[in-house]
Amino acid sequence: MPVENLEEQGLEKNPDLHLAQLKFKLTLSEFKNDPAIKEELVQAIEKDMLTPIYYFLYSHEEAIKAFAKTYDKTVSLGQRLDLVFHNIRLGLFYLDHSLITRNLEKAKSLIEEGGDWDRRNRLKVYEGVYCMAIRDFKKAANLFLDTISTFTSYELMDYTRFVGYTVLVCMIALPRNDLRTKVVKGSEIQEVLHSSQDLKTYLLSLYECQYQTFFQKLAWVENELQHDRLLAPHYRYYVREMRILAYTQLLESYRSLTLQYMATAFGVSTEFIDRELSRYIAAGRLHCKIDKVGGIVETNRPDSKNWQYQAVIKHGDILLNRVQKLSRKGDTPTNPPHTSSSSTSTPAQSLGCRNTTGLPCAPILGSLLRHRMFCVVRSFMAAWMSFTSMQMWCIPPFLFLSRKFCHGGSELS
Amino acid sequence: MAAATLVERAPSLPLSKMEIDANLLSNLESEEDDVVKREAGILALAEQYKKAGQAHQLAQLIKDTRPFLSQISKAKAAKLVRTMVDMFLDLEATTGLEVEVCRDNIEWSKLERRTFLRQSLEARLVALFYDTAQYSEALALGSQLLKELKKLDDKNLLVEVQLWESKTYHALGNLPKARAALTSARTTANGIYCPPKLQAALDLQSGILHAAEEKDFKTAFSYFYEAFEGYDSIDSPKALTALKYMLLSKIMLQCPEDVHSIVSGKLALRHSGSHVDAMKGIAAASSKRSLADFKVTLGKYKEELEGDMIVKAHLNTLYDSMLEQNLCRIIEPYSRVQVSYVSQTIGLPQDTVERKLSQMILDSKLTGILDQGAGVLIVWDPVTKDKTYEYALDTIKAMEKVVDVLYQKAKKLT
Repeated sequence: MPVENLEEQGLEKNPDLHLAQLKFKLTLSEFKNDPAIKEELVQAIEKDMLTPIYYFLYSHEEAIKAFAKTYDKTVSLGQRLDLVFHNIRLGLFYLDHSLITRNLEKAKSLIEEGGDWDRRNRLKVYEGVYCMAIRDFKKAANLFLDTISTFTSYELMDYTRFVGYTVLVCMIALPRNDLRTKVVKGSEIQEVLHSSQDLKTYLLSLYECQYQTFFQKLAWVENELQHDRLLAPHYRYYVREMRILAYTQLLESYRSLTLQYMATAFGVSTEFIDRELSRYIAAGRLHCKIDKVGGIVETNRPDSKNWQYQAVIKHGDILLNRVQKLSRKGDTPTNPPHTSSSSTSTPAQSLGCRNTTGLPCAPILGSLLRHRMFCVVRSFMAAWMSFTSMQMWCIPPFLFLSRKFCHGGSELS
Repeated sequence: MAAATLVERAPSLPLSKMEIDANLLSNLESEEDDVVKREAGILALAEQYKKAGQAHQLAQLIKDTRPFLSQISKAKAAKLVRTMVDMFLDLEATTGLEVEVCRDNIEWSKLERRTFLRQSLEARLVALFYDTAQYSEALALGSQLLKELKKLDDKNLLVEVQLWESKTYHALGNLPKARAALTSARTTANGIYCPPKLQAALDLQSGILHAAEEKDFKTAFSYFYEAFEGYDSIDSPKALTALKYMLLSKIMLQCPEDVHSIVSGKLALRHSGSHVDAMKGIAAASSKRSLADFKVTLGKYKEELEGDMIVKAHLNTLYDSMLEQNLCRIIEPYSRVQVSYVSQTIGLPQDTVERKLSQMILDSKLTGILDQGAGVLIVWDPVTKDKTYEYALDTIKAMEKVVDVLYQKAKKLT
């Protein structure tokens, strides 16, 4: 079927966000006196005398007031939604976060009342752009992928730019197999990537583990991000996260690898890799250790089972506290509370043998022991509240929890 | 007049032919039924240029015959210009002028309000954009042209343009749209008498699309067979391409034995040559599962195998899957094996093997881990994850919500 020109279906371009982008570029020192940009800005202002002046000269509060008045007078849902979209665009133009969030909420409630699919998709795009501006890349990635086949919001940005943003946020937010099915093999994305070779190389180099090319392209991406109005405040974060992602991907299939191999894989010096890795390991972002004497990096992936156990203990603890508070609320002074907040139990037997990384469990048990000690102290303090707590020692976690809930239920009924 | 200028501009033509032309053109200026003869003369001259490979002169000839074109009917003029432009483009002289010449003629036909000619030329321009990999221009021009052609309901040209559109989308990687375009081309072609060349082209494209996305090589094979028969009946050089694709689908279906039977059948005997030998070599390497043979064949028949994008793409996937299968087979009996041993057995350099292994681990095709310090690969059996803790965590989360609600209810009571 022929290429559809969906531009006609987009809302009109006011305020023209492209102008905002140009203005931003001018503020950057390197473009300060770029005559071409100034020329373009002046031309745009002259061409469309009313609209930009309205937004540049008048304060945006007046614009909002005008919109509010129109909103009260409009009856139909569609028109109201369009006005709300106008407000959101105004917020995006000035990057006024409270305005944007307020209007996004309003738009969502209006859509719930009964919005058509076109406006629903449009709202998704707006929301995605806002999420991107506040660094919520995961949500932005999901929203963008949903709307990529139905993109009609040409007043925000053009299609190639939109696909560019999608690729960037998906690379940071999506896991590998999702990245493959949705982005690398996505038909619309492939079509646009054909015209933008840099972006294509950037995406494919990460996916196919060609880290040297990836680093080069990351430098190019960094440059691009610095010049983009919405993403400039986040470029450092983005580049750091992408670097961590690349390192994690390389380390994932190795138990140990030489520093030299890592350095050549990324096309940098060993000192650079050393510095980078030390920084991220100290921050707890990478799970490995450097053996500088042997020139080796060893990975020590935390066993997911231990982590899950810790999570169960923690959440279970919190839950028990809340149930206790609840029971106290329902308690009359004569009715002594039965529940206790102890949550100790023996660690599950399975810890030792289901160890997929092959590392011995002993060092991890130590931390569990400490946790158990802490729980023991707490339970002794709480022991006076209930004499039944002693019996709870040896029962495995979830059985224990279910018993506790039976208690709580009988009290409240 | 035209005759004189022609005489000046074509000194290299054999004199006898030139004389005939000059005589023809000079004698038959104002006579009516000789218009046909003049037309034939121009065509013959164009053929001459084409055979001699003189692209510039041919382009000039197209321009020079413009005054003459006003004397014959518009349809015939359109056909004449289109044939000459086709000949010019078939030369593939890559003078860099092709797009310009096309555009030039399109402009002229716009001025002269020869819509049919213009559309015909624009269709040819779409094909040209596809050949020079200017895909976005091809799509833009194609969509505009399709709108006009649908209004005029010119089915012949419509099928052509839709077919080129499908090819462009395929080249861009947008397979759903490519398939949609091909379906519309087929539907339109059903309504007209489709010449065998066009029918064979449609079949070829269907085969390519089936092989690309769904990897449905059986259907692709049958389409390629149809295309091959179609091209064979009109003795087109594209029959060889169709044959190659047929053999390729058989190889991808893991039936390399069939390749032999097809090649020795009487249909294919006419086309035997380096291309067919290349495919035979690949089939042999595939049946022996030998990567070394594969590489050798690739090196020997580089042009035939890597010149065609589709063959290249499929052979890459075949190579990848063969490599993975071989690696799995070598590693299977071991739980701990040296990477150098694996690379020796498979006959590839150690870095390649290591990189491929790490990628396989990343894609979860291999459950194991590499230890570069000791230079080994450790394999373990895939463990099914115990879901108990996940269920426990989910239960706790659900209970938290229940407690929340109860808390609020309790607040209301007190």
